[in-house]
Amino acid sequence: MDIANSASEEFSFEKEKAIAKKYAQRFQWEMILIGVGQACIWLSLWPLVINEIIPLWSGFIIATICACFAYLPSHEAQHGNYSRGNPKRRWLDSFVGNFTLITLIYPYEVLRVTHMKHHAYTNDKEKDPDFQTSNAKSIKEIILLVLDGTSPDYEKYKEVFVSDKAFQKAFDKGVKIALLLRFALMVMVVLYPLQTLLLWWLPAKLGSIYTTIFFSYYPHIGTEHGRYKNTRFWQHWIPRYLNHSMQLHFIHHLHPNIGHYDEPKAIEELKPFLIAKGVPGAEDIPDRVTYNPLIKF
Amino acid sequence: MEKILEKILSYNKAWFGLIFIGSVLNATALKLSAFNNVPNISIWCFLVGFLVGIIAHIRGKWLWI
Repeated sequence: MDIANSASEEFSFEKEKAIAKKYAQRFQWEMILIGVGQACIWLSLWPLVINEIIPLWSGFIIATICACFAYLPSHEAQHGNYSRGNPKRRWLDSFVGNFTLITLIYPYEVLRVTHMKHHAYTNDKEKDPDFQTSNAKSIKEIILLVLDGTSPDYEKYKEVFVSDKAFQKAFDKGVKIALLLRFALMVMVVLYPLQTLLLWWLPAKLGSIYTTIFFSYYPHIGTEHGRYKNTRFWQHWIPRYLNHSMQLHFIHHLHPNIGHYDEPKAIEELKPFLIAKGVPGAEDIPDRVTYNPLIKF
Repeated sequence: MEKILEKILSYNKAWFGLIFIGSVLNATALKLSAFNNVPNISIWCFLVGFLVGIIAHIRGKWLWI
């Protein structure tokens, strides 16, 4: 009994939180650079392609890479990781969150509130907006769901959380941005049909597929309900530098305020806690995560 | 006004078919020499786009999944 008590005290939530807090302080300048940078590069593709300075096919490749980089900076904004609770810096969350998502044609506010619900109800069939993609049977199913545009079914979650006034308010705000983005897409396709297809629509779809596979599907395969059980440590043949280190996504679910690029160091220090709490795959976490590509064939 | 807007938006797949798919098909057809002699090719392209959108609207989804 004493051993059990001392073990639970050694790995108490307070101690875990104190360690995590150390890595949740730094200003996330890299993410701002990536978010704003990719959106600026993507915007610059339009005059470059329209004026035939670069060919459309190369614009398509660059736009697709931009789209793959577009979500994560918005994701940090969704958690307020730029403002870090400072009301004077809240505009930064909103600006980066909205601006970076233009490439993906997604409204920031809708993603923000549904993502908060994903954290609150991870793996809940009725309430987790990511349930369909995070519990998909295969990658093929995800590709089809994203291409179809029916997942996540945001309208369904507007009804599920109908009594949550803050959710409804933010959602409605996001719908206006969604309409604006759709309108812009329609105007652009009339003016520049093939450019709009290959610089915007198709890269946005490919970026969404990439994001859904690595952010939603892989981290949650076979996981259950509960704080320490709903996300796992996993390894892949793709080096983590090419999938935004989503092998480490579990630490984000435990402590969303840890900056993305500070997660490896936080995991190294928190590893004994993660094993003690039974995080799926925690025993396989290497002692050195920083600079480790986490490749496994 | 809001109701009219809602009604228009409820046919979003049909509009997407007409405007987006129609424009892309039209631009592609104009680039392909095989379609050079087809009369009213633009009308056909937008019609096909609209039909695809209407079918998606009726089915509630784009793909057969």
